[in-house]
Amino acid sequence: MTVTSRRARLAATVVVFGLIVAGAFVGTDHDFPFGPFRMYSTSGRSTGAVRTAALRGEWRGQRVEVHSESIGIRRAELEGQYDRFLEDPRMLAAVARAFRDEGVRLDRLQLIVVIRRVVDGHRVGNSTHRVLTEWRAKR
Amino acid sequence: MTAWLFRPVPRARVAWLRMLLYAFIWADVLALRPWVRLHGDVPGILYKPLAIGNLFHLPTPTHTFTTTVMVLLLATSAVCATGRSPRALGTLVAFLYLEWMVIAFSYGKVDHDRFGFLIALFVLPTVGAASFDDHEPDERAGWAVRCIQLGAVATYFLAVIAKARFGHGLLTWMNSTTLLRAVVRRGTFISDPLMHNPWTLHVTQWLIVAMELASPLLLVRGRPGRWMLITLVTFHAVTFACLTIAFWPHLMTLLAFVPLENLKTPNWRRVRHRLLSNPPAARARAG
Repeated sequence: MTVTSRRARLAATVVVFGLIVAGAFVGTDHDFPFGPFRMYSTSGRSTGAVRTAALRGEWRGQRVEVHSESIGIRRAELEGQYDRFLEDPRMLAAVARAFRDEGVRLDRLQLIVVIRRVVDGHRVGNSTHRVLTEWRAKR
Repeated sequence: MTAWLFRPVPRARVAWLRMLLYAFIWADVLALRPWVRLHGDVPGILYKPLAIGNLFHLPTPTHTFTTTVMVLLLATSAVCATGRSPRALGTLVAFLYLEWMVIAFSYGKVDHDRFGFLIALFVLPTVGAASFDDHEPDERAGWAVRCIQLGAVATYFLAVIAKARFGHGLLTWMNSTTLLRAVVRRGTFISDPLMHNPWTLHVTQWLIVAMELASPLLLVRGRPGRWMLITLVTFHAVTFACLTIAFWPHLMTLLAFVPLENLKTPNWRRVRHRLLSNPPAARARAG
């Protein structure tokens, strides 16, 4: 190997691994691929709630089973964009349109948070839910 | 330090890594992460570009764009898996896979098992030609393998920093109910009984941090490195059994620690001869 190509490789190593170390200390997911390795990195209290996102659809007063995965949106992607869903009603409207394009008819769509209780590290009771935001078809 | 970074490795290991990692791309795109393709059909308003997307003005994925990237990625990685055009096409694969990841992670959720695999895709082309029977130790191969190894170790070791940052301190994380919550969310018949004995999950959190801090042992030659590798592979198998989560691309990078060059050289001519002289249809009839 020539001295130049050795130096180039050394420099690339320092830059790339320098960026990933910096990302670990000060980066966010937004900095992919140099963001922090934050899989399962948050702390859950031994008493509290486990919250997951879900969609709840209706057509003429009847519940319609809807799963965001069927239109290409993962549950965690709903959770990662809560703020945008709350700020911009067009987001949920667009999701409803995507279901319509898949042949699922809806006149009401809710983004909900399913809540399961944990007390002293044990799961207790049934799950409940809270509506975050809602879309209704224009009549 | 430089000597360690460039310690020669037989080029055969690079040939094996190329075949396995480029073939893995097919499994990843078609079977493990089929939802990436669907992002082309997700309404554009849900697109939330990453810093890299803003920096290089990458387009909002559409059906046509996503399909084009996928077809190109599959075609180029298939060619590269055979060892052809390792530099030019190999580099193209690296950029296409990076774009595929941008399409995957620009909708509000980033997965954290890709760093080492991306490193691998970018360093494998730098070795140039490599064949399965090329046992000549080579510094270029050594550097590439070392970088993949460092990527794998970084994934574990720096995860400790993330736990300290996002878990309100490392000690708080270790004493929290993170694993219990994970089991509540996506437990299996194997892990559900653990919910009744939460101390098992509590102890596991301490062991996970110990294991991640010890991960640089992977880089030590001989017994310590081998044991560390066995420990980590066992950890991933248990995680999969308990949570049905596997960090597949990251697992592929662990192959860089295995002396793949000792595997028997595949005799493609014999494989082809066997397949052609005894085609599946004839075998089915015979059966």
